[in-house]
Amino acid sequence: MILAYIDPGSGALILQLLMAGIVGAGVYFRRAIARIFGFRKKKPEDQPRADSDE
Amino acid sequence: MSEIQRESGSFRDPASFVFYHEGRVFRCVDEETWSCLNDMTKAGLLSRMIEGGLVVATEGSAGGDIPADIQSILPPGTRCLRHRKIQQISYPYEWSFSMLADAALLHLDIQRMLIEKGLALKDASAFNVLFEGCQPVFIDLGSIERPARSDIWFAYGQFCRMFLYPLLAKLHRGMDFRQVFMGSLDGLQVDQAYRMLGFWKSFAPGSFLDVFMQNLFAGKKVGQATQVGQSLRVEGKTDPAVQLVNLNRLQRKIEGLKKSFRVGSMWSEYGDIRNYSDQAIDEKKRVVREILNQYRPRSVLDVGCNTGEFSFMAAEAGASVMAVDYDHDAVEALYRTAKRKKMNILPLVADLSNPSPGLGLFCEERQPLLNRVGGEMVFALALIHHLMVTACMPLEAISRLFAQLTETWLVLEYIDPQDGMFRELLAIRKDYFSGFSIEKLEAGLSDHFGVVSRHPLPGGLRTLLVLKKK
Repeated sequence: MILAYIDPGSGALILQLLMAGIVGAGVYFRRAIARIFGFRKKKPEDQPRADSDE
Repeated sequence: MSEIQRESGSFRDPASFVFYHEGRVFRCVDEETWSCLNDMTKAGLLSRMIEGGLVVATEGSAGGDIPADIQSILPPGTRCLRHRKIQQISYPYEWSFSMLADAALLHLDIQRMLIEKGLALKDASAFNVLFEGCQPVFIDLGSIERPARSDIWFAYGQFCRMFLYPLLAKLHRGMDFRQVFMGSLDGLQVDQAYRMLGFWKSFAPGSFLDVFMQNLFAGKKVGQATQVGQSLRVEGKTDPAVQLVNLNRLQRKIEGLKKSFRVGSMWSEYGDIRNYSDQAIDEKKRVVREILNQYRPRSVLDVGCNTGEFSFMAAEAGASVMAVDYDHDAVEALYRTAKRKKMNILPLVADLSNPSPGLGLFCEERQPLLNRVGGEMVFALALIHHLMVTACMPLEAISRLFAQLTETWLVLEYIDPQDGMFRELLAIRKDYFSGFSIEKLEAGLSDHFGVVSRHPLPGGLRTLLVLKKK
């Protein structure tokens, strides 16, 4: 698997891998929080619905 | 059967190269790249990019246009594209701050559009952008690939070296792009950027991730690269949303840098204006306008353009203009104005008495400046005293330089040594110029130029000359 024909810079790669980890975790948490709180906050008049697990 | 000529700067990427044939530009790409470009075309993405002016106009020359002798020497399975030829070739070391920033933003726009389709730019070289007037255009379609992972951008490191670090170095340390890019065609290295900015500026929120952190992780230990390389191989799909966060962050940062850069020193050039009466300025403008109307040049090179007043006039008269000045901030101010007004002017930072030479492999990879700038008509207004005194150029050299720059016409402003502008430059210099006169000037230019007309300006010390190359 050829990855790059220019020097990608190991610093740049490591930084992005770290960011990928953090952002990925952030996206996961945001989705989890939205599932718990999101529906209730946006539509208070609706009945709280059962979430379908993905 | 006419020759094909391979582009001397196009050799690093084994998947693609550019060649010329009978004045047309072709690019060869391998099968993989062709399939990426095909997918882009089917999705309408390529035409969107071309119509938006982001990417140079391109057609897939499958068969049709390609001369048979070229087909025969290309490896089997090679495909060709035909690009529209861009006339104005300029390099990052000739750009001003906002020009490099706009070229960076163009890369980010293109990368964002690509990752939606599972594609990416494999490199982020500032040399993959050419300016047409004030519009940056991406030319390296061979740089498009299907990456191994889409959550990281493999060219991000090069993007920092070519765009972000030079912008930071110019903004915070006043380091000109010329110094960066002529020294290294790959831009500023991360450790150089860190040392130039110093600990405190690198640790500041604006530079923390891109300078400090990258420098921290920059591979200095043997074997580290191999470890990183192994950890990059990943099973399954990766999420481009992560990369998008990074790209958006970079965009905001570069837009912020553009806003932070303030032009300063240009105003000191206005010292020249002090020496003109209002009458003289109006007359000079009138004469230049008259000359443009009479000769209607297709292209004009404005040397020592300064505020760009006469470049605007030439552009309004329908010429395609290149405007060159030694002062970075003058070029930056001209770029911002010309871009806002959408004028056909390409401003460049260059010292014509020390123009960039051929660089790179065999000194052919990047062409010398004098091969790339020029015009049917050249303006040399409020300039002669700088060439003679500041640059210490003898008249024969001035004559030869202009002969190389112009196709036909030269509009040169003679300035008498008694004039305030001239005397200011001579204030602390030994005066070799008391004998200088308009006759001496015309004689000095006579080996390459003949005088067509003379237009004296009010005050008696300045005259506009229109000369024709012999």
